[in-house]
Amino acid sequence: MSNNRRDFIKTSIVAGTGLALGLSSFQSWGGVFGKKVRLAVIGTGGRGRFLMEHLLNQMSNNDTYELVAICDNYQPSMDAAKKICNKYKITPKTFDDYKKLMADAPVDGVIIATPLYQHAHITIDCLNAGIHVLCEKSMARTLSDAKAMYDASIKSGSILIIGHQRMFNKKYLNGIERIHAGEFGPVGQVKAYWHRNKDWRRPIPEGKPELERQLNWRLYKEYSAGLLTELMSHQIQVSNWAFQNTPVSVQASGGIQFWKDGREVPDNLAAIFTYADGSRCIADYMNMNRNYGVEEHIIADYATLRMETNKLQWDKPNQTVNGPMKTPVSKMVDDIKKGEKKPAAIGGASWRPETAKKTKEESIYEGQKGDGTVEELLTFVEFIKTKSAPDWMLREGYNASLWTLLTEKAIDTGKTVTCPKKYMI
Amino acid sequence: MQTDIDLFYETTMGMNTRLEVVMWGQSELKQQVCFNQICAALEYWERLLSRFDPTAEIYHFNSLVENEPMQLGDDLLNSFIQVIEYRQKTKGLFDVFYLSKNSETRHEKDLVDVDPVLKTIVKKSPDVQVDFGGVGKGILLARAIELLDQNEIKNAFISFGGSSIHCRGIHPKGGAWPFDFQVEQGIDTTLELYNTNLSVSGLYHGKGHIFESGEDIPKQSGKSVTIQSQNPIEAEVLSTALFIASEQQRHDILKNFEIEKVLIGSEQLVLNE
Repeated sequence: MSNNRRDFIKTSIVAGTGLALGLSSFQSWGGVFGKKVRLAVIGTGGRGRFLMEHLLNQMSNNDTYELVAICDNYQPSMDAAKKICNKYKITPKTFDDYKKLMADAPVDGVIIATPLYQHAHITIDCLNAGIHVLCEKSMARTLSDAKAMYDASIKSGSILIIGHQRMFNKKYLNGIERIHAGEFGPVGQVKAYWHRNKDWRRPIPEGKPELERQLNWRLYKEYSAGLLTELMSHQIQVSNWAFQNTPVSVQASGGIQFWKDGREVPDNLAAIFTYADGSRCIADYMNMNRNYGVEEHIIADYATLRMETNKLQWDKPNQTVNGPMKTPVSKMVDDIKKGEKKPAAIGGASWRPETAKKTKEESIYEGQKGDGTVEELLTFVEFIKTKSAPDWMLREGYNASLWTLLTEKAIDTGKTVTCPKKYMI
Repeated sequence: MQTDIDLFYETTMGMNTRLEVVMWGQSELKQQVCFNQICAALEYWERLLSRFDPTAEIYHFNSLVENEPMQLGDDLLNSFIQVIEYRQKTKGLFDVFYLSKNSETRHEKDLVDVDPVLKTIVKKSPDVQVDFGGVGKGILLARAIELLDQNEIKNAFISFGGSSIHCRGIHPKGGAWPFDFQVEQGIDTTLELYNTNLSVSGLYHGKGHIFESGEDIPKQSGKSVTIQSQNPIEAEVLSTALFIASEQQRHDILKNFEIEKVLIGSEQLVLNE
């Protein structure tokens, strides 16, 4: 397992480096063969337009791909997408049905950013038609859908990757690579949270209450598992990545505590994932206070990495890159070695509250701009050109989705949940 | 004084704090052996005295719900006898025994019976708990002193958590070992020590941690209590007891001990008055 995962990381790093250094190779490919990768975006809601804009923004530096089609069945989203296309002076074909897009607009790859419950059938149809897919996270609404997507990719040979952009973020790549190299010792815990202070609702056009479930699909269990699929899936992916493993079980609790507005998904939840070696990921989510915001603390023997904010804090003495941790007594020893005699500043109570350490922080990695979305998109283009992607990229997405949905089961049943064999890959 | 002396410095963790050992003037090997022995002693005593380690004797004692005798080894037996004696000598202000919260008998005084012949201890109530936190570092320092003697280490300085100190011999640059202490908020004092032990109790950034018997709120004071004594255990006991004692109680208690120096904040208490 770990070998493949390491390969994946290396591949990702190579891909990331290639993006930084190898744009000319993309350009020359386009120039030599006169063919561009033809892309479409299916689902031009908020996330779809965000991805679209990143793609179009990069096209000024990269002529190896083009956006040839966009698709959405909600006219306001389509209109907003067209405005973006106008801004970049392109006129892709427009569709309100992905099947029409597949029939009328030959494409090499699609980016799927529809509501979660629509991921599976669109992805599977595309893969079976030989179209490569970058599907937004989370992978699917149900375990069987996720497995069907995975199987379709394997069977068809078409590329499928899931949009966990942290896998393409050099800050994460660097930190995870150093974790796997043992620089920080074994990882004991990943502590993840994502706290927001808003109802997560989208406004419904006046006089059209029938659009409530379509627009606020994240709040209804038929379409989404809410905070689990939309937020936690990212962080369990990071946790699995850090541990180089998947959990053996999950315990969880959650419910609707604050926003009692008809929604069906929890607005307050917590989960504990246990890995085979006894390490754990503790994750919690809420929609009523954003003081803590979003973070993944990867807590290892010698250091804690705060991935979202790019911070690294060393813990143990004699292991810091800046030299051993200094105490009044060690400073006295340093003075003696310098031939000096100074008082040691000691004295204090024998106990004090074990509050968080305030040791000096350093950056995990300098130089990453953005959250990895640009790198994710351009890497997808590269994969299409080479017709190959590392196996582990899909497995990461699949396992993140799998354990997200198993967490939902743990909440619903109140039981410790393990993974059924039929879903193990 | 040469600076290329065999200066030894090592640190380890134990009893929820940091132990730091500085030695010089003896062979590197002997100094290392001595440090290793001190670490082993720390592990041994923590295994006896920890309230948090499920394998520790005291953890087991605190877990007992029946008033049945618990068999004791010699070291723990002697420690119990010693702390009971210190409770008497400090008029009850130093007491390792307490009753868990919500107990209606929390003010009961004789909480245990120790039988030195049968080497047992028995709780008088299932709610009786014991906490060696106020004296454990002193016990370890006493053992460390024995090990320094056995290894013929003449010059050493040991800091246990920055508040329990043993020093012997001289500083590598000659003369006493000099230390700065924060004795009150924002006020430091400097001591120069030869061959003695020091224990400091008191405020640290305004947070109290010493509880008067029967109280839930830590005793607050603007001044620390610093005890200098040849006996590191008594230094620990007294720095705790005098911290919560009234002025009259301090003088009464000190009559029962042979102490070198007492600082209340930065003021030295006149002894044997």
